[in-house]
Amino acid sequence: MRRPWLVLLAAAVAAAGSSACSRSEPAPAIAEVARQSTQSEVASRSSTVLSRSDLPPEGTRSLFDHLMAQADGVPWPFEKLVEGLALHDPSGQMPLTLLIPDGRSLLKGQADYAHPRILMAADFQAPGSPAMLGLAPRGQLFLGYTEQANEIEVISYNEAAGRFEFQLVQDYRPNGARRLVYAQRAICESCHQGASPIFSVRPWNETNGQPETAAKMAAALQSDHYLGFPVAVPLSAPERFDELTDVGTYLVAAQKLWLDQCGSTDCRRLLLKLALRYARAPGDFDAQAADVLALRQLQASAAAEPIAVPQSDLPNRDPIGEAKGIKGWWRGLFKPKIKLGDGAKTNADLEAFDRLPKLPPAQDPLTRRAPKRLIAAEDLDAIYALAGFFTADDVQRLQQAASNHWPAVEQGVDRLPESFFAERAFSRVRTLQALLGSEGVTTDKHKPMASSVPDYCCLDVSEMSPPVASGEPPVQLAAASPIAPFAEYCFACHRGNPSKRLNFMSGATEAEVTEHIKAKVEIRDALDWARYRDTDQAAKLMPPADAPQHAALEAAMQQNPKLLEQMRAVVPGLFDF
Amino acid sequence: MRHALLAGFAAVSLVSFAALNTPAVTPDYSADTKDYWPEPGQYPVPNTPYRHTLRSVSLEQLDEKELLPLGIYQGTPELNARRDWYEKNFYATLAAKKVWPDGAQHWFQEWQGKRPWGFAPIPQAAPPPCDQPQPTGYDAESCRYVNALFVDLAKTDPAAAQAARERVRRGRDVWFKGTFGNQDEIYLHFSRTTPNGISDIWYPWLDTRERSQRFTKYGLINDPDCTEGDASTFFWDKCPDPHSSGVLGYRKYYADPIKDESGNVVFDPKTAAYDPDELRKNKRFVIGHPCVQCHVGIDPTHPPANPNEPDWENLSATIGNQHINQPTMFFQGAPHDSLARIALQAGRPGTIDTSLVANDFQNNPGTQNNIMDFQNRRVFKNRMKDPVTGEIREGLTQHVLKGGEDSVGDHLALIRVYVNIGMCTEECWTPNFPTPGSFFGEKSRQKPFRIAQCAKDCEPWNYADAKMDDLAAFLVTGGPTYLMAAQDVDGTAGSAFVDLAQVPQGRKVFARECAACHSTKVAPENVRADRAALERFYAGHIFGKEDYWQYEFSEAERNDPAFIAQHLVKQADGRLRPKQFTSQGVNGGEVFGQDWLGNDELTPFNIIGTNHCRAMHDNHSTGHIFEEFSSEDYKERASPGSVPRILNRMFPLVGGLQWGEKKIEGGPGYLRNISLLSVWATAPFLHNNAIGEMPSLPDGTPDGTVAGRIKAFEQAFDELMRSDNPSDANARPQKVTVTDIDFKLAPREDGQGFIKLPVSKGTPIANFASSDPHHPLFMKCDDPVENKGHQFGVSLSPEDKLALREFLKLM
Repeated sequence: MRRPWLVLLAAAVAAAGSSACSRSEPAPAIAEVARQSTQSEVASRSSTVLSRSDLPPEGTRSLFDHLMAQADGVPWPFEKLVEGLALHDPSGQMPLTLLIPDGRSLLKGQADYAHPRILMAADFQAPGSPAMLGLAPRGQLFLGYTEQANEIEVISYNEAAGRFEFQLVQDYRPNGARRLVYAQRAICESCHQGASPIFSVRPWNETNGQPETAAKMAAALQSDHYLGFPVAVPLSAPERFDELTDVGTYLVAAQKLWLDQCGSTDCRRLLLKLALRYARAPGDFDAQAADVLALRQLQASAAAEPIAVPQSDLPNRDPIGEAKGIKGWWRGLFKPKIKLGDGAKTNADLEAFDRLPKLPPAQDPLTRRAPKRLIAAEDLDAIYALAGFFTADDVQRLQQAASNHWPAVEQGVDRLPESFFAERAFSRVRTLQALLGSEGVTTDKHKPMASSVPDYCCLDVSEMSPPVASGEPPVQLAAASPIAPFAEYCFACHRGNPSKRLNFMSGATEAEVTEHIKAKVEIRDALDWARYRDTDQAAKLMPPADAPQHAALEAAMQQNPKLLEQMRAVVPGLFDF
Repeated sequence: MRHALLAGFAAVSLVSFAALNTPAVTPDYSADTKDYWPEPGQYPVPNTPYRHTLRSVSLEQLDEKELLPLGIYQGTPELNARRDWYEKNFYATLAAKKVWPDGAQHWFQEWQGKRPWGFAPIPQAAPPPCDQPQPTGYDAESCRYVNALFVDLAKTDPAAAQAARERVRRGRDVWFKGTFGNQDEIYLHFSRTTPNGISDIWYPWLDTRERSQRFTKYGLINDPDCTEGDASTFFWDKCPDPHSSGVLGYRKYYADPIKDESGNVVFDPKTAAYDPDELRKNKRFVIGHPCVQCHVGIDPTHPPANPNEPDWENLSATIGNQHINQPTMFFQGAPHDSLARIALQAGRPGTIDTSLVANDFQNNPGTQNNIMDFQNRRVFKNRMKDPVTGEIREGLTQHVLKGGEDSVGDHLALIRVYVNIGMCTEECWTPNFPTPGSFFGEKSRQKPFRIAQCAKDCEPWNYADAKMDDLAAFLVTGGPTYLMAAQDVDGTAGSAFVDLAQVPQGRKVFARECAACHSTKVAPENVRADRAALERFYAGHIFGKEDYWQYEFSEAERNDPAFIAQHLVKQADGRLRPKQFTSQGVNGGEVFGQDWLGNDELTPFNIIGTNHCRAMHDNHSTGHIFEEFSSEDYKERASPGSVPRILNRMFPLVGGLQWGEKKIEGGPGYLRNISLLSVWATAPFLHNNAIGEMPSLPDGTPDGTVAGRIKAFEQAFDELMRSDNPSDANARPQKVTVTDIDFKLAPREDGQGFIKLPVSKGTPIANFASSDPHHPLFMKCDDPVENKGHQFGVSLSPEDKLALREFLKLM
């Protein structure tokens, strides 16, 4: 009896070992996936209208760009950046944050249990004011910060362009340049296959929502916080993050439904009307109403292919569980390990990423995923998805404009010009502004009720610097360049800043940058520490006293007391003749 | 009695014995009521109102709402050729028996061997109309039941109401009495799986001297009509219905005579004197099983003072018996160390592994569903194949079984249950089972059950097939049981068990956290992840019964003019009524205004996270036994993902090691989002009753009182709201059912064979119950912990958890 068991045991051990070594067909290299994704676009109205370029379409910017422009640049440290975003939430709650020490991102080699990647998602819809529409970043703003890579990855919605933008904050260090650039979209979309945020499904073992992961980080960090963020969070945190990525994904689907499932302006007009009706009282929406049936017919007449809702869910992965017990030990003998610092150190270093051990295809975000769902012409999801753009405050605002007579809102939609429903991305803000304008919602067709069109924080790009693509090389400075100290202590806030006002050290070449610096005469005063320090003008001095660049500059001045003078000398004085 | 015997013999004598694998010809049959109810007229029809809810819904009404027909199956040629006959002989064909050529009782049938028998109905007579006294208390209860239905219809169309009531009554009789020859599964097939064959197959607790403890020890429901018997009844219960064994769900029929080798009768069950061994040897009666075997239970709204002696008004035919102790049901006559008996122990009280006989080799016991408001469940469109014509087209279906596997309409879903509990086992079922001990080729795999073949080869299929619409007509009349309408054994009102002040907040929590899955008011997919949007979507929606709607909202909410304008309607009498329950309700989306509290959609196993072996049930996949009972859409379901492929845990040392992954495809891998109707009364939770425990009274009797159910509910709710990760503080204690003895395991499903593996006390039963003996290298499924998953709401604040708990008591 004993011998057959031993034979069986040996066979099983050998088999298990070989299994641990072997893998099913791995996902292809990321660059190859990116190349394929650019070629896989199916011809459709949305593919024509919605840009797929790395930079946002002319005259549009990401939500993050707008918020950072208002913050005068990307704050340091990350905790301060998150706190700054929290200020937009009238409830005062901090955004949702998570830690992932052993994840699947492009920069996964730069994180471990002592240096986890920090994820953040906004989860609020602010009510706004009479003059201003509320900010609604729920499902529209996601950050991923990898400290060891000095980089923040940003996914945020572009209201005017109707798409998510993929951005990077590069060189995100105390004294780093903190360059906010637009990433190479094709690379991002190799994993973010719907051009939208993605996240794992339950039980989210990679996150600090699971106690084993949190405990291992706490042990590695010898702390219950990492960079100001709690090491342990309740399971509801990854759950909510997962949900918010789903919310974001439906924004992408909504644009396709708007453009592709509706093939005419009549269809889009009716769709908007029904979406607003649904948004007003979703529980009372009558899906059998005559105009709903009419929409179905219009959708059918567009003869579009079913609209794919991107699959934003990745299978769960349990790095700690996989290594547990004798099985884990056995697998560990065959499984290559990733050490901190391995692999890509930036989002451009794809070859280094590809040298990392591959994930099982089922868990690899590079593996092509089938759509979460296909929405057919007879489905009404276009109504529901479009309604998802509007906040409770938006609906209330329309109700008030209509003196609580809802048909007036729908009549307002009827009055919007044909051009409003032309083939372009749907915009919540533009729609509300149109409806609340003089041609929109009224209770008396002779007397417009809306007195003024509310503004919105995050559409106007006239005061923003041009967007920068990640591929653009940093400016090359000559040895002993006189503007080298500016690069060290000033570029972080004044080069690549989305605010045009603050982006006065831009330029592709040293000469261009020098000219721009020279043109900014205020620099002389800002660097005149000797004159203004300890005066009521001290706040004007740069770098700001609480900035790490300030401390670094002071330290440098210990070595070179004339450093400030040398910098000021680059900028002509008023009386330099 | 003599007349009865004559009638029985006459019926049998008309049977023509079928040649091998050819259909039997059913004889004409007629019966006289007096043969079966020797003392008719003793039971007046009570008119006591019900505490649990009934629904006056007919199939015709559902048809008008385009919710019927479900499925595309139109019956077999055999059925369609003789529909009138089956209709005429409705009651005569509720039960059937095999008729062997020698007229003797047979306890052995060669595995997949020749079938020399024919069939005969076991005669039963139609009950008298309900305006007459009834021959049994059961019949009087049937009349009480149907008289409580269609009251409004009776005012306007008495004939229609009468027809509807009669149909419901017929369906109820199928539910309580339809066995269709399924007794042979126990004797001919189960006996193959026990160490001593038929000697191990008997029902010790049917001895009438067990009557006073049947609920206490086994969770069985005694027939209220019966009393404890004595030697004059051969120590069976004394019952006015001769086919009642004294236990609901266990119908007794005379066994055939036992003959010696010369063909002489040595024991004639109808005339023989009492033999002390007769129960053990099944000599006098054989037992068939109608649906109520699992589904009848204590009415949560009106429990009996003594659950061992309930009255009819203490019972619910459709709640599902949460107290039944299945391990003791079938194999209690078998040795304690027999595989069959041990394997059944994996099921918790109130559960049974319905894929244990047509074994999918996955340990997946499941609860008996509470059948409530099935008329109000969602109906889905599926592409399905007609099992007779082969045509594939779209039809309507509900999602039946835990994973929605039954997906070709209610008719075939219902009749499949009869197959599953033994109907036509030898003719249609076991021929498609893998052969025990086989490892290669066709014999090592299931083959599909073919409906067309079954109708030809097994006449009882047609008996049942002709009755499924009536059965459905009965089942759609079952409604929820509300705590607010309950009264405990000590007279305490159900309302004393709920803190109504918590309910409005609980409603909000439910809308945000639960309703996306547990409501038939189905939120669009894009808002299911947006709690604020969900709260808006469910604003003003009443999840519970209309009678209690005001409890779901705070006074301020109810008095808000905007709320009134949007959600209420003023009636002619000036009363404000929720719009949802009126003709102004939305869409007719909720068929009768009432929320079913479950959207019946399918959720991948890894999202729900509960023990996944039930979701992996694969008997409905292509090439498997119940292929014809699942739709094409089922078979084409997207893969929900993969699971680790685990070396058989019974292997020493290496058992449990992972060897790659197994992709789940072809249909399995999902669980449907169940209804929470009456959830206060149906704890423990989850598909396997593993969250929470059933409380007991001091003497060990399962506690079926209102207080007991509330205790079970609150404890289960508390466990549900905890993390399932043992590393978390205050996590659920993990539950893994293990063997309670050392024993020797024969690694075959029939427990036979030469190899006997030693299994130590404390070994998880799933270690061997979830491995396929025909493909033993890997576990068929591997998920030892039974009470894991459903990690929804575990991070809620204690205040919100409390509010949610109290809200759910109102449902």
